[in-house]
Amino acid sequence: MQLLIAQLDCPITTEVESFLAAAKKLKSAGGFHLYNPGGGLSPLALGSLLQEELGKEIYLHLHPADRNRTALFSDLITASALGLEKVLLSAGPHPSKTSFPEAKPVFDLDLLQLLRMALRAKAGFDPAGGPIAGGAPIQVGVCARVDSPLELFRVKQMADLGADYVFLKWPSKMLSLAQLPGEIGRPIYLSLELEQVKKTEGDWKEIREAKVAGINLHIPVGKEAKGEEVLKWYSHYLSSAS
Amino acid sequence: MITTQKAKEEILSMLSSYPKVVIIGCGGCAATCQTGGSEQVKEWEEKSLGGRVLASIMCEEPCDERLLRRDLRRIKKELEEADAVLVLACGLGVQNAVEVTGKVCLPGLDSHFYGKAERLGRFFERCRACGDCLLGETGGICFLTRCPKGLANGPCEGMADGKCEVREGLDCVWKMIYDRLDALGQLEKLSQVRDPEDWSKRTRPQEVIWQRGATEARGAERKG
Repeated sequence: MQLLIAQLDCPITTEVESFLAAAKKLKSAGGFHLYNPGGGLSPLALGSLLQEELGKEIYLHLHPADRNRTALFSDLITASALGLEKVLLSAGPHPSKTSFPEAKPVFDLDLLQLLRMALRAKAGFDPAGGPIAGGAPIQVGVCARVDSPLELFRVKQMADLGADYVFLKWPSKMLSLAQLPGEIGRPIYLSLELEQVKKTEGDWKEIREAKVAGINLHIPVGKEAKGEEVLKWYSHYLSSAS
Repeated sequence: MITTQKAKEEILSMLSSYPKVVIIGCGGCAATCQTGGSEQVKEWEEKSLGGRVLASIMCEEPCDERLLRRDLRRIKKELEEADAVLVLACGLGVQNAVEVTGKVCLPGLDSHFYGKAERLGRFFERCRACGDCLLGETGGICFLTRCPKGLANGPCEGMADGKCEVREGLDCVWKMIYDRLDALGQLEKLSQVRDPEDWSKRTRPQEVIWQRGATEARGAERKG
């Protein structure tokens, strides 16, 4: 059974209750993916609250755009300490594409370097090789798109390094659903934008029959009702097939 | 070093409380950029500052303390009388002038980056002086400089159709590196995962000090 994940942006607000109320509307989501492009509420804090209130799987998205390796490592072990075991990594947006265009781009690590650090933490070690007291039993995924041989090469490289799963921007200009996950060799979650999906059976039949672990649906702030509509429809569509 | 000239009003404002001025131009990079060459020095001396300029010199490279000391000897008397020095060179030239003259030295230029001159008026950043050149691994294309995120191990997920997500029309440097290595038959070089930069070796201000006694290859001690 595919897992349906609602990807939510961490808002620039202090009204946490509004965020939680919006998330609660997404009853058909089996998990939440929390992404902070920059300057929003901490996904660590929101993830912890959501997990506590809804008891659903949380995918904590970390990226190096606004944090150096020290801060990222702190986030990794804090996530583990809070019981947020699913960590999702990406290169992250350049500040010029966020609400803070004048901020200094950090990128102390790139995605592969961050992945290696996270995998070392998963193995129980800090970047200097010292043991992490209590360990950090996390599962580490990466965000990727595969529209070219270079990107396919890179996502395979991350799988070889030990990434546990891949959130793959969909559709791909290079791979068909039939080629997944054989080409990548890891559980694949298809990442879709709410605005791009059409609730037509023809479009979803292929996804339902594909060997993918789940769907990650990016739901912009204020579009939760529409997001729930799509998730609910697909959830029923999945159930009807099983 | 690629430079642009500060706005005339800004320079005049900086110099407003200094009646007598000496100008130092740069015969190297700033001359190439046409920001601190002989024409620009002449312009400031004869037009913009009128009779306030006691003397001017064109130094071959004001960033080289030996050359600057040598050239300033020619205007020793005027320099002593001057209230301030306008330096039409990069930040290295300005700071060198401060150390050599002890005078109030004011920058006429803004320094931007190490760049290549494609032709007059078209300058492009190509080197970030990282202290650990990896061009041999990347087909001679620098990812640190040419990727807005400085990513060392491939493109970000924002690349679309080989273009950068940050600046419209900019080719993704990792697409360029891939194509170049493919053409050279060296795609295996992409397999290596590069370590993060070691910033413990890059603490500012950095130094390179030659060690005495080395004959064949001159040894150097680098501090950072």
